[in-house]
Amino acid sequence: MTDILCISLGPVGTRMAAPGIRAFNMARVLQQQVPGARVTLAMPPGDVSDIDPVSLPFAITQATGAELVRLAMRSDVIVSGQIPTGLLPAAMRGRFVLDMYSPLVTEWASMSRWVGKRHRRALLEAKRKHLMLELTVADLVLCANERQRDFVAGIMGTMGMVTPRQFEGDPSLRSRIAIAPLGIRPHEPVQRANVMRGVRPGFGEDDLILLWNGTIIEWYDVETLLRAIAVVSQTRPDVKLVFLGTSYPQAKSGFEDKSMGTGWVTVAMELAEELGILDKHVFFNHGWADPETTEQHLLESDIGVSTYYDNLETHFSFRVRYLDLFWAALPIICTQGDVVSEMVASRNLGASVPASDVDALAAAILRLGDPSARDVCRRNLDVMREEYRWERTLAPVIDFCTSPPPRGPEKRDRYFPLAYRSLDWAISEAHEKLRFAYRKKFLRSGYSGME
Amino acid sequence: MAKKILVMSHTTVGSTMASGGIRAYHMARVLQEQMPEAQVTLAISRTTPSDLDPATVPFAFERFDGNNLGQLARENDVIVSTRFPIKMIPAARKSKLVLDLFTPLITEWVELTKRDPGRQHRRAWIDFKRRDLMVQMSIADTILVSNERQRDMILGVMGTMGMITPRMFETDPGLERLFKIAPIGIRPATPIPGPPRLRGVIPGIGPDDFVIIWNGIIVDWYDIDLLLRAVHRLKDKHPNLRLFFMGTEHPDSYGTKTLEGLGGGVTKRAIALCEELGILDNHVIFNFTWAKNDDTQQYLLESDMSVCTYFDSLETRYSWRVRYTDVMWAGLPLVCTEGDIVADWVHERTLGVRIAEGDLDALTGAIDRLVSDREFYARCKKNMETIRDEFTWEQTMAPLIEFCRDPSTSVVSRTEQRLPVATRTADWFASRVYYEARFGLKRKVATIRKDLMAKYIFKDDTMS
Repeated sequence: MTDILCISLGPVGTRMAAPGIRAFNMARVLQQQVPGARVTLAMPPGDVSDIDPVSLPFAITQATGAELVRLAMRSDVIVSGQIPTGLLPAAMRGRFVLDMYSPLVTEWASMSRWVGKRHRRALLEAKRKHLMLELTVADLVLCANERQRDFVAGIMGTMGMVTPRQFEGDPSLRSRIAIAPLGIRPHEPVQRANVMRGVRPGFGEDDLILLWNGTIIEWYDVETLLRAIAVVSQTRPDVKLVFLGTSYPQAKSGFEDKSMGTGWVTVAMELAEELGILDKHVFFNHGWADPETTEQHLLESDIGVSTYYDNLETHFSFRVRYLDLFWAALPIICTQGDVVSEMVASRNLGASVPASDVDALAAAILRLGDPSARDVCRRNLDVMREEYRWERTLAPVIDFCTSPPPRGPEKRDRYFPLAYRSLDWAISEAHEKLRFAYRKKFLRSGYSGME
Repeated sequence: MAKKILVMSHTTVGSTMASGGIRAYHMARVLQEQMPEAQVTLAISRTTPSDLDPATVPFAFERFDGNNLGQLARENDVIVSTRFPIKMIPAARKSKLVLDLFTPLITEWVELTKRDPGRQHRRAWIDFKRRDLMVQMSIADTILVSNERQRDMILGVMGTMGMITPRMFETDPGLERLFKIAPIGIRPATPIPGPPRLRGVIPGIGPDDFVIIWNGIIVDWYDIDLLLRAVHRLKDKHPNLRLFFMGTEHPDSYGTKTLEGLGGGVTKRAIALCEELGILDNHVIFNFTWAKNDDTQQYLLESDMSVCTYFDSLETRYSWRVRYTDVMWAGLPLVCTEGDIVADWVHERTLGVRIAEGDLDALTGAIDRLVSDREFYARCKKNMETIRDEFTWEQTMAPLIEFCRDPSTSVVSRTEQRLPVATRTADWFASRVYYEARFGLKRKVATIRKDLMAKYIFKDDTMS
């Protein structure tokens, strides 16, 4: 009997974003594939009315605080993207899988832009130290692609967490730092009633439909795409670009405008208006699309498109939206720079174009406007799809859970590093909290008191 | 005012050079050629033996030691080195430092110390090296790496150390000013064959044989067994197939008993396997010394293809093998194991055949195809020859030259790094003290005791 605890950092249910989807499928696959497993999925408190616990193969809980700690102490394996400090003892006791499928270090740097410069530095410092704490405890670290693996290998090497003994046992370090990307939707595509073709105003039966299947945030380069559409519309009057869903389900109302997309949608709409293609060639769906709508859009479209900038964020990323394109076997047009764009080029899944190159993008759209070119890509994508089943992508975790725990004083070796990293983290955290976070709170309450 | 640039090498520069020396030499050469107004100096340690004649090189040549390090650091505007001696750091306040991390040290240390019998010693040594590397990274103004993968790994290292600050990200989102990709280049000599030194000269290799060259050392991260078995399988189909091991020993271990140097045990095992398979000296030919530079060039030009098989490891993933730059130089089709960046090119750009680790059938098939399929062979050779121009030293060192032209483009802020440098130096010092106290002294005492005993008690060599 193996007790496995999967901790989800995001909501689970019909409105799941990547963290929820990943934890949910992790729990599902581990329950199915690990003999004698008893999997519990822990998720944050919130609305769960759309989940039916009886239909799930694993147990779910919304435990927090002491209750979650107790649950963790009983588990043999804990899988989580981050680990609350309170769970560290439990993670040291059992075996801990750190699920780092997105490269946090670069993400933090771009996401915490709204706080002050000094505060930001302190915040990143505390986060970084907490990550090192987690890496010290982790028995297996998961990342999404080879590049992230290189990054993590560098981290672990610096921390002195790669001991010669371990390196000798497994020179590739794959048993310690493994690649386990996100998987595709588990069910097969089902055609439902049309939502676009011949139904939505302005859409003909045989239009060339490009789908932007995700949010628009600052990392994405919508401008180049809109300009390319304007160019293409000259020769292909039937071209249509649809933005599916424009806000993130977790976005808090306060931040929504700036950090999680809506502000960028307005910018994009203004540009489309200016180019004279809004609601003629470019259409925006607002809000977050539910799964059925998303799937139907995917199945009705001809090309999935995603454009961004060639920077470090792109270099390390494995964008979630591609998995839906794999699932629907939708030919892909994307910007060069990430791992998927390399696969697009080498396995002919569509076209990858240089960043910010309107002409190249327009040419790619026109090339894939030809149905026979798309058919070739679709066949290649059908092969690709099978490689991205959750059962396949999570294979390293399944192996880890089924293989016997390593013998010897592995964990004992880590007590000392853990102790000083805890101290190191505690100091940074205290610094950040006392100097910035609490003070800000205090000031804010002071002002509101005066008003 | 003319810019002064110092290139330091910690290994020897002269007629026999390992990769570090070759790299330093060509860096100095290319920098001086491309920046004629600058004054480029190549410095090697005073204790390193070298037969380099300063009159024959286009740049200045210096020796450094503890006494003139400070002066050298103060005099030069840019200093390029794989490691900056700690003593040098205070004096280099005003110079720009280019840290040359062309090999991924972290994985290398583990491989290098494999034969260290003392587990505690090995750990302490690696730990000490690691802390030293961290000091180096904290003081560097820009860092040279060999490929993107290394960059990603080192980014992880520096991210963990808190050395990638939000400010750096904002001013340089791609961190292109912090990391520069500058791999080892190819030989500058034109690949024109001279009088034969291989065919008809080395016993067993005739003018019409199909020669596969193993152009590098043999150490235990290479999979020699697999290759020998493939040759064994093909020997009846292609009786003129020859596998030539260009060298077996590393130049640094030269002079130790033959076959006992770094990786010597592997050579012995390889010879035993050849004997067992009955292919020694008729299909497989070993050259038991480290080939000299001229010989190497000639061997390469007389061969038909090159091969390199190894095991999947992190070391492989980050590596940029000098032997491959030689293969590019000579334009030889290549059969290699997957894992490193060149293997990917071999596959994508058809420079030969890439095989999976330990796949004997694939290896046999790949060699067979290159021997029998002339059209495929010609295509691989042509593609390999086009790649040559991308890796001249002038090309690979372009980012370094660019930096030296305008060192102010560095994204590192010295004020920001002041505290990290101080703490890391303290950290380094602590681990150095620990290492010396625990192992250094013991070793020193042991050496002195041994010397004394040899001198006064046993007058012969029995003690050594």
